Amino acid sequence: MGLRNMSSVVLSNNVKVIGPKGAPTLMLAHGFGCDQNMWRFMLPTLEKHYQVVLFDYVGSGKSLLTKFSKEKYSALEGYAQDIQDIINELKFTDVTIIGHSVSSTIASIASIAMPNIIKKIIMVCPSPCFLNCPPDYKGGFERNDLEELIGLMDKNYIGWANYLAPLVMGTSQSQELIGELSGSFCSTDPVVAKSFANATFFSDYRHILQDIKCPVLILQSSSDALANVSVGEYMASRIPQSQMVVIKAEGHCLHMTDYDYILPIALKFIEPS
Amino acid sequence: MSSEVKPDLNHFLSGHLVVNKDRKIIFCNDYIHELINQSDNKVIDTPISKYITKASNIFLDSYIYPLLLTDSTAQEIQITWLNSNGEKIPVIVNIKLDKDGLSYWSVYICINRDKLQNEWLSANKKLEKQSQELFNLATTDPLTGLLNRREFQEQTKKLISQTDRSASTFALLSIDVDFFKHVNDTHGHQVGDKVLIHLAKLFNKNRRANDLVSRFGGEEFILVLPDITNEDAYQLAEKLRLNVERNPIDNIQITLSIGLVVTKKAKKVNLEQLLKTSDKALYMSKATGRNKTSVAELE
Repeated sequence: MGLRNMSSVVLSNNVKVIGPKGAPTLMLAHGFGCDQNMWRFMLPTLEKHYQVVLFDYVGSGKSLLTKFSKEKYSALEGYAQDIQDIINELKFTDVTIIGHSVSSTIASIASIAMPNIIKKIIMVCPSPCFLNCPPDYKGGFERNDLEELIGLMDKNYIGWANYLAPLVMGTSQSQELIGELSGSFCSTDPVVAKSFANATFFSDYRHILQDIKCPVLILQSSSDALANVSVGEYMASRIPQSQMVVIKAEGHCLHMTDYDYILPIALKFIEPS
Repeated sequence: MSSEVKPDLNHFLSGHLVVNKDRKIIFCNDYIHELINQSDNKVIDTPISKYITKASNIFLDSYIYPLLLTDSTAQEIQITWLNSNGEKIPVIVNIKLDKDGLSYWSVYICINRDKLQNEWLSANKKLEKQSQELFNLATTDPLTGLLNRREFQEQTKKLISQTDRSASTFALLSIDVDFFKHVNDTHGHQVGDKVLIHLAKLFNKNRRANDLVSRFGGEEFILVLPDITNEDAYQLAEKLRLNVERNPIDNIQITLSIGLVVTKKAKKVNLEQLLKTSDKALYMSKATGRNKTSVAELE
């Protein structure tokens, strides 16, 4: 029975485990509109030191679309369950998660559910809430902006069905870099993309920050249209064991545009010498 | 005469823009000025990002530019224009990127098309909601919210065919409330309903994620428990039975008779056989004093 279920999670979430056996486990959780492919720039370095677990959330990349349920995946808890299922089925006991963007929140939810297993989280360009909540929180967006974004997804349906590039790479990146980054688009089903977008953009998980018990490293980009520096500062001030590093960079995908720069910081955090 | 016609982009009812590598506007026709509501000298050299909404800018970064860099063209894409008064105008854009990094934009207002799309989207949303409501009505028991008999049969048949392939077992529990007619006759149907609702809650509370819990009819419930051993299924049945025996509902002592059947590995069964067998076990419980769990073997 165990084997059957294990292979079912491996299939549903297109799980890949690479790197030396017995090395510490590092799980890489992709963000909205993308898949595990977005970690490809960091992977060569990471797989030398760690047992790296790559996966796609149900509905993204090469996951099993048949496993998608609108109900389950209408909130981030559903995605956190994917992480928990993978950890349970593959029997990992000590896991560090690197989560991009919304996956930082998803990893946090999972870590609160399994505090003895998820030991550290690295958040790349995280935001617990994209909405502005006056007076003391500026997520960066008014509800209207985000509703319009979802509307654009509906109205440009066919385009999104084909591909969706990693969200926001920053306008001042060189065209060559944007070209290279978007060379392999992430495939996302339109219905799923919309559910994920709703779960991502209209949620507010600020209240769970104080419950994250593991050490957290926040890597924020100095110029990011989706998650500004003040969002990182807000998170750092509420997560009990957190440290924040602002990377002088443009865009929302530090792990793709500035991976050389963030890798040593991440490695040092995972294994302080 | 035709040689005297000098094409002038300002005569067209469409906007034309040239945007450079830094995404600044370096040329535009009159249609764009009207759209922006600003004179020429202010538009030129301004970033295109200023004239589209925040959401559209995200869309531009995450979809349109990557698409241009891959295919050199992006066609029939809807974004939202922002004029100098802050008004939002839906537009369709066709864009071509040349090898020097200049992009050529054709822009068309699509207010009516957008209205139509919004109507279509809201009708679609309404239909989705209605179809969900109809689905719920068709598949659940209105009193208890559990699966109704028909949905139970559908889902169990699916489970049986999956189990055929996976060589695991599952259990089926037929649960009947003892002397339920007496409860209804003595305390009235409203109290009888309360008992059924209470039991449904209890069964739901004890169910695992993949268990099926249904009201099969009247005062009979059926639970289907995938991936479970004989012993675990028996223990669960007893746990439910004892819970009800020890906790009167609305001060009324209620007991349950339960019939249990567990499938065998790699042995094909059908729903009729299962129901017949669990019914046999349930009958044994009733015939031997009620308030007990009996097990029957599949033939």
